[in-house]
Amino acid sequence: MHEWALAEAIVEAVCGYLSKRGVNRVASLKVAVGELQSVDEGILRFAVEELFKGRGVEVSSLVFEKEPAVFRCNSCGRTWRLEDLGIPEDAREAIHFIPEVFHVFTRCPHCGSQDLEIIQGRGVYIGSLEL
Amino acid sequence: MDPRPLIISERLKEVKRVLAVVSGKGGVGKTLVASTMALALAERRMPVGLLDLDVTNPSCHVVLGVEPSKETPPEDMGVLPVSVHGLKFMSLAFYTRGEALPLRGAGVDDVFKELLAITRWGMLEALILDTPPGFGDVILDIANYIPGVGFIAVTTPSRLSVESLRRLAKTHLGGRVVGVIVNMAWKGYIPEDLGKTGFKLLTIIPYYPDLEACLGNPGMLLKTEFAKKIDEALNLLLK
Ligand SMILES: Nc1ncnc2c1ncn2[C@@H]1O[C@H](COP(=O)(O)OP(=O)(O)OP(=O)(O)O)[C@@H](O)[C@H]1O
Ligand SMILES: [Mg+2]
Ligand SMILES: [Zn+2]
Repeated sequence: MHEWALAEAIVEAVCGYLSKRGVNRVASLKVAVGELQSVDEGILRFAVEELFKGRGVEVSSLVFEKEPAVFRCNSCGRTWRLEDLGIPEDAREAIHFIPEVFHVFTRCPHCGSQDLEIIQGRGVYIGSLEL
Repeated sequence: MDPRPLIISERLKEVKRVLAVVSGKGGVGKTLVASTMALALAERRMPVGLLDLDVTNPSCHVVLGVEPSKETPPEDMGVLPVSVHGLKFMSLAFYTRGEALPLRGAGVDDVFKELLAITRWGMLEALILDTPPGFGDVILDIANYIPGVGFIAVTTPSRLSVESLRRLAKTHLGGRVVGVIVNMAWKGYIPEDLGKTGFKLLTIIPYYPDLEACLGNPGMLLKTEFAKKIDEALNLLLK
C-alpha cells in the first residue's frame, strides 16, 4: 500500500504549512490525483483522513480531483491522452511507483520518439488549500 | 503545492549520515566506489543503504550482481529497499527492468523526489548515494533536499578531471565535499594538483586491470586491493 506513503507526504506538507501559521484547521483541501499513477483514491482518502486525525488537524472539506494525463512529444510536438498510449498491463505497476518509468515502455504514437513529456496528470499534488 | 519535499527529510530521519559519491567527469569510478563502500560498511556489520541515483543509467546493480527484473522492492506503506549482501539497496533499475530511461531534467527531478518520498530506509548508520557525472539536476537536488549530505568527490589523476573538481570547489556545493578519492592512478602519481581544490585526500587507488572479473561478485570484490583502499578512505571518513 504505497498510497500510505503518498498520504504521509500530503499530510506532512499540509501540517508544515499549518504550523508556520499556527493553526490546526483547514477549510478546504483539494488533492489532484494524476491519472498516470493510477492511485487507489479510496485508500488514499482513508489514509489522509486517518493521518490528519492522528495529527489533530480538522479538514472541513477534503476533495480528490482526477486529472487526466496528457503527453507531449518533444520531437514532433503533438499531444495525446493516456488511452492512446497503449501502456502494457505489466508496466502499470512500475509506473504506479515511479510515473516517469512510462518513458521506458512507450513511444510517441505519431513519430515513435521516446523524447516525451507528461504535461498534466502525472501524480499526486496539492491543488489548493484554504484555511 | 508539491507534497514531496517535506516527507523526504522525514524518510531520512533515522539515517545517521548520507554520503554522495560525485565527480565532475564521467567514468572515473563513482559507481564502483559507491557500491564497494556500501559493501565494505555492510561487512563491518553497520546498517547501510545504497541508493543508485544515476536515474537514466543506473549500474550499481551490476556491481552487486543483482538482476533487476527478478527482484521487486517490497511494498509496505511505501517501498522498502531490497536486502542484498547485508545492505539495503534501491535503484530505479527495479522499475525500468534494466532498460534505458530517456529523461529530461524535469523528469530527473521528479524521479529523485518520488524515489526519496516513497522509500523507507529505517535506521541506517550510512546511506551511500551513487550519482551521474557532472553537477546537474541530481547533485543540485541532493544538496537542496538532503541538508546534511557529505560529498565524496572521485577523480582520476588527469588534469581534465582535477580541473573539474577545482571548479566544483568554487560553487555553493564546494563546502559539502568531505574528501577526495583519486582513482585509476598511474605508477608514480603524486597528488600535487589536488592542492588547488582545497579538498582532503582520502586515498589514492591504482588502476587494477583484473577488477572487471569482480563485477557482480561482491565476495570477490571485497577481497581486492581496490576494496582495501576503499577501507582506508572509510577509516578516514568515519573517525
Ligand atoms: N581502480 C580501478 N581499476 C580498474 N578499473 C576500475 C577502477 N575503478 C573503476 N574501474 C572500472 O572503470 C569503469 C568505470 O567505472 P564506474 O562505472 O564505476 O565509473 P563512473 O564514474 O560510475 O562512471 P559514470 O560517470 O558513467 O557513472 C568500470 O568498468 C570500472 O569497473
Ligand atoms: Mg556510474
Ligand atoms: Zn512524436
